[in-house]
Amino acid sequence: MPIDSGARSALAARGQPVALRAEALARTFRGSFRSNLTNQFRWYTFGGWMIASLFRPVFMLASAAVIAHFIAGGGVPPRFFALTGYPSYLAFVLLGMSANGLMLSSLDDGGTAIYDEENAGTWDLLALTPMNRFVWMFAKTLSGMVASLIDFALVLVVGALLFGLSFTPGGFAVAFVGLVLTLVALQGMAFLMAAAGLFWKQPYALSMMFAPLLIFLSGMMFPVEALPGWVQPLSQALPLTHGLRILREAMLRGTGLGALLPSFGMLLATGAVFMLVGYVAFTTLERRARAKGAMGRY
Amino acid sequence: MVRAGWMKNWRLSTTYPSWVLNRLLGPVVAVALAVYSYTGLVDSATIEQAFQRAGETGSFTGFLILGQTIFAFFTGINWRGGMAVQRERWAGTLEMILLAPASRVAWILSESLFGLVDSGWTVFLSMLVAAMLFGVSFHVADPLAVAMVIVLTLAAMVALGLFFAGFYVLTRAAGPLSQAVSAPLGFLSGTQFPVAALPSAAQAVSYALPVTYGLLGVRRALLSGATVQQLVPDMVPLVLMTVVFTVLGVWLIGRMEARAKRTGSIHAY
Repeated sequence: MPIDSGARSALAARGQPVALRAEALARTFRGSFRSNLTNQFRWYTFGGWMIASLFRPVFMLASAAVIAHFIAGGGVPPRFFALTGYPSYLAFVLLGMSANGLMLSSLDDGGTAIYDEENAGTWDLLALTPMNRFVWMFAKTLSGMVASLIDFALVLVVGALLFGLSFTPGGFAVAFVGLVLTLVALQGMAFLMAAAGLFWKQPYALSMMFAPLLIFLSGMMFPVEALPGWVQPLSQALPLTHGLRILREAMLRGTGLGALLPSFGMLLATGAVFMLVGYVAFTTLERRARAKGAMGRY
Repeated sequence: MVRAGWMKNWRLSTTYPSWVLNRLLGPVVAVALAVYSYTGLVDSATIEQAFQRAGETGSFTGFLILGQTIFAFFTGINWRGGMAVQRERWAGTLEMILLAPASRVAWILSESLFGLVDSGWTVFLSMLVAAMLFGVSFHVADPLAVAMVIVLTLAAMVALGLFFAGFYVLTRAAGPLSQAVSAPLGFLSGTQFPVAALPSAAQAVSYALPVTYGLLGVRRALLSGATVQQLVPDMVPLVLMTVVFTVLGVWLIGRMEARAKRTGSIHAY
């Protein structure tokens, strides 16, 4: 990856007025975002990542359909309806599975943000440049999330067509706002994964471990209300749980923005906490890696 | 070649203990996910009745535990096979490996066998942990039957992994493809529900997969106390499929390698 042109601007901007420093940050963001977005789409081949992004959630949706038919004879499962009041279990799961790509992006792209640079031998150079690494990484992980919006749309459309599902049209606008904010809130998780990648050096192991855990805790496949009481606070601490609630309330019941303000509040609050923890973890572990001379090691 | 592959993977595994943590926790979480995918919808009595109607006599949590943990073997073997090719491609060493006068089958096999052993102890531990967490007890009447059906299931999984490895040589995305392959296989093999719950057309595909017979046999041996004689209808297809997929896998690896060399796509990633 070429050294970002924002780095030179950042060096020149030290001691300069705020406007120039802001321009340096903007150039760092633009350079990182553009190059990483291009890289994301380079990998997005039909025979590769697209298949993997589509197969897993669609087959999980198919499993949910078979299970629901197997135990509830095709109707709305009674306990599910009692817990949620939603008219369709499959539509509930489809929205959960559509968000699977966003979740995986925060884990994978966050975790590999530094690992990829270490692997390519460019992390030492990037770490030396006087650019704002927070902005650089924010742009990098955001580009991954933007690309995962394609996964979201693809799974939603394919799943709806395959299983004959429909959603409340009036809820699309609120759902879109919820989706965008969920995307931003998941950035915090991406930062935490980047920090973990600095320490553990094998981000794929961590993302493969956390992915099913997040599917379990965030209620992608079943209502979080069905979880044991002691697990529920863990579930409520995740931004994805609240993002999914907003999506489902908007698209399955047409719930308006006003009624969903508490959920939006929790989404932003949990996202901010993850961002803060991720930022602190990243800066701390990066400092430790520098001190130990472990920056380029992978 | 197999020994070299083993030593390489042993060093990688011991260098990165996060993979051990992943393999220990992964199946336990997968079991919890599977269990709550049922109990989040209806009460436990309804679930048990549905399983009994489908001819499953053991507890449904035991059914799900064995489905997730045994299938975790296959995902480990299959993923290793895919990533073996992917990693060499990324490192730019795939061409050298394929130019070397060494058996490609032995290379892929070394990865799969290591995946088997490396996953084995973690999957076994996960099974025990999940059984304790969900209060499941296993009913073993014939330990020889359990050992035989597990060995034959694992052999069949290695053969199936060898078969898929042929395709991974051609593609630029072996890693994600290996994950993509696991999704339909897990769906069709009865990991999360009895095969009888699938539509008839899908059941025909299920019974062409070795993992299906492996799961049927392991569940009967561990949950219903089946003997060797009772497991013959499951073990014979496993033996036949092991032979068939091994032969097909060896042939495919050779053909795909020749094609990749002809089209010059080996180095592209």
